[in-house]
Amino acid sequence: MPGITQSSSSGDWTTSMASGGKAAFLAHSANGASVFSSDGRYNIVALSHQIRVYFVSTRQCIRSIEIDLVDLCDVKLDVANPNNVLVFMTSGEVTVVNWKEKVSQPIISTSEIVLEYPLLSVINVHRDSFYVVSGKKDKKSVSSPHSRYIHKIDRSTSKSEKLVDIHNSIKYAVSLDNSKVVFVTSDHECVLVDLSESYKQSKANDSEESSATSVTEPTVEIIKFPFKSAITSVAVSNDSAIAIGTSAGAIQILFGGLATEKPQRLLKWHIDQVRSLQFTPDNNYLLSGGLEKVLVFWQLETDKTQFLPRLNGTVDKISIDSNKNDYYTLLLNVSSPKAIEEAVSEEENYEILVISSVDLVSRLSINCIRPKFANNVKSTLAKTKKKYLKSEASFDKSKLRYDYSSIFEIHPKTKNLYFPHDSVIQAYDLVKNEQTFVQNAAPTLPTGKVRSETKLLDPSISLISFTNDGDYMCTFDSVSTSEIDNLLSKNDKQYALKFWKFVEATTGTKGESTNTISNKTGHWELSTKIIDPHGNSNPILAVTAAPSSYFGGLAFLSADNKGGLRIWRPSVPKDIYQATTKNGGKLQQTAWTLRKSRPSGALSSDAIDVCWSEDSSVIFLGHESTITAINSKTFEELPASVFKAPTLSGSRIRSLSILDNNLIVLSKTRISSYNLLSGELNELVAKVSTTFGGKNLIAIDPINKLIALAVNYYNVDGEDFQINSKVLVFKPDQLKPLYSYTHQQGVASIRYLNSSFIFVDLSSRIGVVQPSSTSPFTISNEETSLTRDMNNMLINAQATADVINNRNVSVSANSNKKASDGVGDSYEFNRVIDLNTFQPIFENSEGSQIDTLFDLIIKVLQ
Amino acid sequence: MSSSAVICSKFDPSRTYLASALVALDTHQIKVQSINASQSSLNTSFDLDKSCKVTNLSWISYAGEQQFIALTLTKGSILVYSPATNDIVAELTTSNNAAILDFHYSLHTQTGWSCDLGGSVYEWDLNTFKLVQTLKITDFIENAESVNRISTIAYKGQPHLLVGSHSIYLVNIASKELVKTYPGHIQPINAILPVVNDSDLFLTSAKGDRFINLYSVERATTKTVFVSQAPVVDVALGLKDNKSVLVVIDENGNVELFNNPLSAESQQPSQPSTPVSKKSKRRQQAGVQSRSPQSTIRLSRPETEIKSPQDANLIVNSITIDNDSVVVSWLENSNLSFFESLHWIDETGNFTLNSDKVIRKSKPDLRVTNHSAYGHDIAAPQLYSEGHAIISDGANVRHLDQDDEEDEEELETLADKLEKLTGDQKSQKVSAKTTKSKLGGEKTGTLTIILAQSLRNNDHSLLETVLSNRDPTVIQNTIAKLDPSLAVVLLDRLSERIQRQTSRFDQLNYWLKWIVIIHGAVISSLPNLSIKLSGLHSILIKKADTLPRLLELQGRLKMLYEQNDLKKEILSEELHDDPEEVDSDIEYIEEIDDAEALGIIENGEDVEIMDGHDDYVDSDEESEVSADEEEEDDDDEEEDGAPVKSALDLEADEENYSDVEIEVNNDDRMDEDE
Repeated sequence: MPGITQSSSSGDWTTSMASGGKAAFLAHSANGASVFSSDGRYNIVALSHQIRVYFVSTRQCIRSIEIDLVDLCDVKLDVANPNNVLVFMTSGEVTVVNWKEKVSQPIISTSEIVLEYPLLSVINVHRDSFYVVSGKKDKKSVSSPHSRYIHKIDRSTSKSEKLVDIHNSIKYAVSLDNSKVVFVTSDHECVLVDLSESYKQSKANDSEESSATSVTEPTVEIIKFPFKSAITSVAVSNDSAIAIGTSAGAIQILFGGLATEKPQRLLKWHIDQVRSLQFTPDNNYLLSGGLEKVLVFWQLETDKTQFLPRLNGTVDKISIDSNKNDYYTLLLNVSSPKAIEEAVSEEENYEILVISSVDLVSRLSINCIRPKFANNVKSTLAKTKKKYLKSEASFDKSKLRYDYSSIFEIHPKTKNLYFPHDSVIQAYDLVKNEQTFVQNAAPTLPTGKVRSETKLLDPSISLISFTNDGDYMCTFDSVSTSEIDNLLSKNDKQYALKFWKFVEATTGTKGESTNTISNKTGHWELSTKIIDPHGNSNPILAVTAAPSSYFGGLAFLSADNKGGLRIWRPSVPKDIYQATTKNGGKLQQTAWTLRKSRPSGALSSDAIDVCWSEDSSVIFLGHESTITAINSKTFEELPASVFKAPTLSGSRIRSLSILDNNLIVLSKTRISSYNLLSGELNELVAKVSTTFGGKNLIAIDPINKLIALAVNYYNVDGEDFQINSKVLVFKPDQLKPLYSYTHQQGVASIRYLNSSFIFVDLSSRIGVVQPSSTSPFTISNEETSLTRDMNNMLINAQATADVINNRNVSVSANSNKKASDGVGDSYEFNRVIDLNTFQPIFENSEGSQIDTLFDLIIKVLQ
Repeated sequence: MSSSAVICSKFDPSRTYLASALVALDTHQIKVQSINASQSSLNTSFDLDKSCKVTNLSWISYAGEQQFIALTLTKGSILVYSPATNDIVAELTTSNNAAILDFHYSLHTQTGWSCDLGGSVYEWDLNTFKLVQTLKITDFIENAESVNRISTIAYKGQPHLLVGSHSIYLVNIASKELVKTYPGHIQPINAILPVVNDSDLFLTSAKGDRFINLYSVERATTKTVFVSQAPVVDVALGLKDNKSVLVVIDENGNVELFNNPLSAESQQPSQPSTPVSKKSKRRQQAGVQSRSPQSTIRLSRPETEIKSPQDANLIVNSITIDNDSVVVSWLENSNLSFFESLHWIDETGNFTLNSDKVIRKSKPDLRVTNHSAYGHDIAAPQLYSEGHAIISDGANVRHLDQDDEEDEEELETLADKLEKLTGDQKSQKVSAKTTKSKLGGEKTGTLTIILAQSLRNNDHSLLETVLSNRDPTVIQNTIAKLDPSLAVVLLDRLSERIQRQTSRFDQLNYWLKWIVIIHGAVISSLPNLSIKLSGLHSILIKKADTLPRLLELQGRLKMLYEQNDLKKEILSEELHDDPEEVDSDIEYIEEIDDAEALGIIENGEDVEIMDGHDDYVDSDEESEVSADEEEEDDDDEEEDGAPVKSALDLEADEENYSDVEIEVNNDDRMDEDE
């Protein structure tokens, strides 16, 4: 299988993928990528690279099976053997996976269904046959009319038999007992197909073994409906009632299978698209969900409504499993409202929420990581591909045209991964592979936004940092003023720097009464919020925690877009309050206050980074393409006699970091390591092309003195145009990387944890690069056989060789090419001309003619 | 109690559940919670229909396990709610719409009894949920308006009703006649509690009344009066062996205990010293014994957590006695009932609660729970709350670290002192000089002295009188004469005032301005200035920040005004145009006139027209006159703007002078327009 955990090793380093990717959204399937076991105690969830089995009562994942499910179209429990699930791919491939027992080879068999069109969904699984729907795939997530075909497929022979074909179908739905299928056509008609006769017949065939009888056509009924709004969802009940959800928000109820016409009617509550509809098994209730983030219960007899509001996301699918019909499985789209509006399926993140129909309390919630990529991968990649096809020769494959990085940080105390996403921070436990919690870090409305409300902007967190001991977190968020009116304030942004205190979980053994509740994870409490932290609405672009040598590490350094620096430290509570804290009472809230400030300059640039020296005496500020050293005590620039920063970057600075006595500078065009003591550049100077979020792609291991750098590049493999990446591990004084790993997907960010590096790729998976000797986590089901290892190594070696042949990434020493590198940049800001502008030219000016020198200067100025 | 969301709450007879009626937004909600969750877990809540408002609730326990709750409603009906199935089992409706005030399930008659505001008493069969009979209390009791509480006792072997209005009446159910009356309360009764082991006794309390009466049924007299410290809300009686305890919730939400309320004599020797008991001794001779509580139990937060008076006195909302312990319940987060039990009697039969007691309960952490207990689902995100956070501003630089503070500061303070010394001498000299020479006029001179005095002596009211001066020249002169060292102090005071009341900025800004202008050099030479004046700085920055916005606004307003002016201009031109357009009709005639004048059309025709339209000509003339006037105006303008053109016009005028004057003028204007 190609989808087995990619793990490769070279030297004494290994790389493995630690998470299973995102929950799949199956556009046509009746269930939301999860099925219950026959006893209803387990829930089997299909992620993009994994099948995970959850034990519902403990909410724990008890098993995970690695399998590539990118092309998934439906998942069904096998009727013949409830220990197996059937995984259907769009291509017609059917894989039988044993989810129950812990066996070395969970994938039992793979068969192929040959159909004219791609498989869309599976209606029913019988002992000897499948009932499937096929047809052309929708090009976008917007439904367009296509022909749909219902096939009966014999399981043993894979022989297919077409039962019904429906033309111009926009949407279709299957009833919970799988007997009714309804197609909504573009002619404003519902085609209701009753398959129960066919099922009976096939059963009869089973018993009598008389295959000679010809298959009778399933009964088809056509019902017209008058309401002409765009159809967004449809559902059919076991007793042939049909609900059609429209983009205007009204739900239309039709009744099929009746001798006398029942009146059609409208249910009105939603004010925007009805995204999902489902009837309950007893046909008494209709469940609907939409952009409002409210699950609506309609009692069909009385039209009475009940609501479950404030869900985490828009309700995109409601499913009720026949094995556990007192649970509702909701697929909640938790992406930002913008992404939902644009309906970019690639960027969408789903939460699978299982709630009990009795008390509407969650029984299970499955989340994957939600990194926020700077740009939409799929659409920008398509654009880039066009550009590439236009000018294949001059296209620089090593230079990414869009920034795809995302921010994530690792909390030193809990080792949770923190992903800021708009106004929320997601904490993810890598060991359990579960989301720990989601913390709202800025005030937002918990309700869904509909229609013009989508114009209201939510705050978005752009920076997150932890103190070394993990007691405090610092976040920075900004809110743009919503475009309500053409006001003077329309371009204003509000900035807020927030300091959070980690409140450890207390084991609730106070013995008070039965009502005492303990929580296990601990939570963050906002201790101080600073509005406009750098005054005059200057945004902060970099926040770093102080090293432990500076006031015990309890300090944050922030830098704004004009190079202004500020140090924030918690203030000591006043004596009055200290007395109460001694008594073990509640702690007085810690106020973080501004302690040092260095005024901003005139040049506004978004290329800013800061770092502390390990002894906290010096702060290095990278602004645009210059590096300045600042005394952390006096907050004044070190005189040139003490420290003279050479032009290390040659272009805009992405990231600064200190490793030992080396200053590691990542700029737009190169990575360089500079020995501060000797005042010389180390051997490690290499040309790389980084995007704006380059600081997310470099990580420092301060203990083993290592640097990890992720480099993305475009890879063209026939028709496929995609982003691949390399993760390189360097020593600060050595050009040759210790380890290099080629990943078949772009890397969005990389961070250091416990002498290993953790990266997040563009398909929202987590990878771990670690030395072979140590392992920060025990990754479940790591039973890699020797042959598989060999195979993977071969694949990787091949890929590496390809890369080198294509010269996609040129890792070469190029200390004598600096001048030309520095010049080639295009700047989208007003450049201030100073000494640094010209320095690269004069560096290599020996022996060159005055004329050429003049030309170079003119070139720079242009 | 009135501020609480709880309407009423009661423990069930088995003391395992607490039922409470709560106000939940606009509906009433019934919650049933088990006291000990580990023994029997029941935690249900049921929202009533919006029309149903609960007045009271009562447990009905018959036929063993099955327990119901009767909810009496304001609309004159009773709902029977089953906590086990969490639904309404039956609704008992009366013909009357008066609010039902109490429901009582009688073990003597095996039926339910309810009473309403109109003085009716209903008997219900609780197996069939049917009305058995209705009694009108007013038929046999005079001046009884409403029946607040109802209870049953067996009297002389027959079930009798105890009806509580303002007094208590004993009514024979079978014969439907009044047997006895027990006066004693002035307020409406809020509890009737028959004593379980002695059918001759019952306790009563009334709303807003501090007295609880123990009556003897037979003798129809008050045996004992229990006096609580605050009006009584709820009463419970506990019995163990031959000991008993009476617990009371008072209006302050505290619990008061009376040990051995039933045996009158036993407690007497225990506290002979208190004056109250002396009094009661006296009363005892009159046949009525008065008792005060032995113990008061107050519920409070630990001292470190007390932030408001409410925290120091948590309100107990219901109470019961379970064998040897008193169970109290209170609300946390104003919707969750918490419980605490105290032993009122120990194993040896001694009373344990003999003195006042404070129970400390810290606020429970109800934040994040395992799965979904108490309303927070684990799948839900943790909400953003800045309720407990400190909010500051980036312009707040008060806490800036002082560079190499200590050594420098000491030195500077010394220097400061020196400076001050010299400064003082100087200022004295200066002031002496000013008084002598009267350089700046008497008024400013004295103001400077007053100012200096107020600053030295820290006299705020004096300073206020000085600062109330608004004359810019006076201020300028005053500050000019002020000692520079005092200028810093003044600046400090000013910034303090501005910070406190930003609205005073207008008044004080002249002072600020002149201090900075005149003493700027001295002030800027002082160390750590940025920290000292940080407050002022932040306010000035904030105020200055609005300037660009205001300028922008000004620009826009200006633009709007100009647009408006332009519109007016255009409109007025249109107005000018209007008569012309009226003219256009006339022009036609004028052209005819012209033609006439030129001799194209014969005069005769013209005359005909003229004859036919006499008025027309008049109006024509008028309009022409007005056109003339306008033209003159136009000419004026033109003279201002372009004198050259007017000269050309003059020429033209001269050319056409040969024709009829008025017509020529008209022609001329036509030309201009074209």
